[in-house]
Amino acid sequence: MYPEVAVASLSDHIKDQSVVAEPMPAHIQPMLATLSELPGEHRPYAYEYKWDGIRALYFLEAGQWRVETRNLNDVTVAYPELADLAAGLEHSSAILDGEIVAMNEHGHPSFGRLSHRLGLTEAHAAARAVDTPVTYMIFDVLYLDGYSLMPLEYRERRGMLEELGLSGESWKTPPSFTGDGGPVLDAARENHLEGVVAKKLDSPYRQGLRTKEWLKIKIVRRQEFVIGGWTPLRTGAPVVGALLIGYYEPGKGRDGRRLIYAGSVGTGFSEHDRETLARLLESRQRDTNPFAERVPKASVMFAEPELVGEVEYRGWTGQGHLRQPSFKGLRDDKEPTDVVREDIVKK
Amino acid sequence: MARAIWSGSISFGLVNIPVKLYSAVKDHSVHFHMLHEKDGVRVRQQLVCPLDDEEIDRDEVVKGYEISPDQYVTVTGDELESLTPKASRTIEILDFVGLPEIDPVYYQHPYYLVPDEQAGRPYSLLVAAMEKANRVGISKFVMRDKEYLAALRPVGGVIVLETMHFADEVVQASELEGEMPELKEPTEKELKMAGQLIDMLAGSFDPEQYHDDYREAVMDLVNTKAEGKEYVMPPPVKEEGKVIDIMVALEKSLARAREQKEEAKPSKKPAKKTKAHARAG
Repeated sequence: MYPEVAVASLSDHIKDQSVVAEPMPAHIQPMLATLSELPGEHRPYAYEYKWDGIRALYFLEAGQWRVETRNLNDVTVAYPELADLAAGLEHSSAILDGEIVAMNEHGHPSFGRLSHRLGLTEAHAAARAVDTPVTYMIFDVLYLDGYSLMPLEYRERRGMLEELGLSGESWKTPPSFTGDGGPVLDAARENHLEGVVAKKLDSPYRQGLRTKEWLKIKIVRRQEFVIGGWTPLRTGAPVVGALLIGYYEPGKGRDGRRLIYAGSVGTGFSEHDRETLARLLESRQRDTNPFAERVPKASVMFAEPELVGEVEYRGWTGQGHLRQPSFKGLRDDKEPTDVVREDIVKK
Repeated sequence: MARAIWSGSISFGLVNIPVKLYSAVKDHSVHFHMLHEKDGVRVRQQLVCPLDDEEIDRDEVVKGYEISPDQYVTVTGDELESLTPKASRTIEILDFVGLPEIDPVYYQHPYYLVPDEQAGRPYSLLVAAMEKANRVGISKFVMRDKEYLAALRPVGGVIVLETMHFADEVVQASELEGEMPELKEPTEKELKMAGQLIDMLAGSFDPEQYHDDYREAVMDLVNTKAEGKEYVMPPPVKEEGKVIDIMVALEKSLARAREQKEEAKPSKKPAKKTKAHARAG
């Protein structure tokens, strides 16, 4: 990873006493990242892809392994497929830090998919391992063979992690890049990942702390959606509380293409916007639902799908609804029938 | 955690009481999935057209009403939707009748009506008035595109809305005339003995004493099997491919993004690129 600097091995560190022998900690509170903009390209950070899953620490000691989550819950029984990772380690004791992810049908990490694996007992986990397989993305090594690596700089720990060469059916060591984080963020965006994490090269592992040595840069997505309905802010008042939005199935022309419901957006409006939109939508009022399926909301006023609005969002839920949507304004430069789901259509 | 199913308002004459509807019963039946015995995988149901002899999609299906044998009038989802009664959100009380007049055969599903914050006074007034007059309100309302007949009964200060069957849904007992054997009048002695049997088992109604034994037995069976680790493990599905795919895709995207960035700097000499040797696992 850093050709200019030879990576020291564990024995080197033991010799120069940069690591200290200590009993394996029973629990570790993971180090956390602060939300931030992408650091400038000359800042001393390494960039890793951000995986939308469950943060998990893997403990191996005397042939026994276990997995713990951020709030120190032991979830070992829920992930039987990680048993073979212990064998692949070839070390007597180790603690790894990483993220458990599940992929959706489009091949992107999906927290929604993973939620099927949460809170499972042993009896259920085996069955779930089949229809919702997970992968443990390993990004740090905190303890090895009786020595804590947490005082070492990130670049040192990263070198040692890569030496471990952990790659198996249900676990991988995703890459880390130095230099310009811009292209890494672009690659993440193109592949529908949550974002990128920037890690300061000289940072030790700070248990349980949210510092600026680790920065999370989240990708925000944006596209137009068709407005097919609204709910009032207060009963009876002609003021928009939330807009019901959707997109058309891909294809040509209007015939037979269904308007798919993508959720409701209730933020991003000024009071004036809420009143203006209500007027515009009331004049386009219709009794029947323009969306292809039932809309799971009460007090809905439907409208002819003629208005198009731009919405910023952070991803899609497993049910095909937007996550954290925020309204950015009406667009009069796009035909409603041209509005499709952009992250799937461009393949 | 109780969640309101529906909201609307009770209306009669000039009175309007905004309320929320909560179900008064919950489902306690045990639910099973269907698995293939051989490998424990959840089975999928297919829609098959016998003429084409192939599986078809749900959106290739249309509803057909049989007007005469093998003759159908087809109706689309959109057409049905255009007919659904306008959602007016009112529970309109049409009559107030005596509770004993309603034969329980008409009752369907019970709900609780909870008044909105500001509607507490008119709500409790209605409850008190119905209790004093000893009458219940017969009403109609539309919920989820269906029209319901309902009885509004005051029970301990709360209004219970009981949906009811429409008259044409109820089979009258007289229609069973052909099925019933001849019923003879019992003798005095027989009646006295039967009366004594009834007295022996007489008591007050205490629903707590009756249990769903069958359901309890099924849950016992399931739990015993789970504790004894007698569960089914279907064969593992290989999804490593998806993870490899995305990692390869990321590599390609990154290479492209870096190239584009370099090309966007025409004035710079081909300077040293800070390379990242990522030994991807």
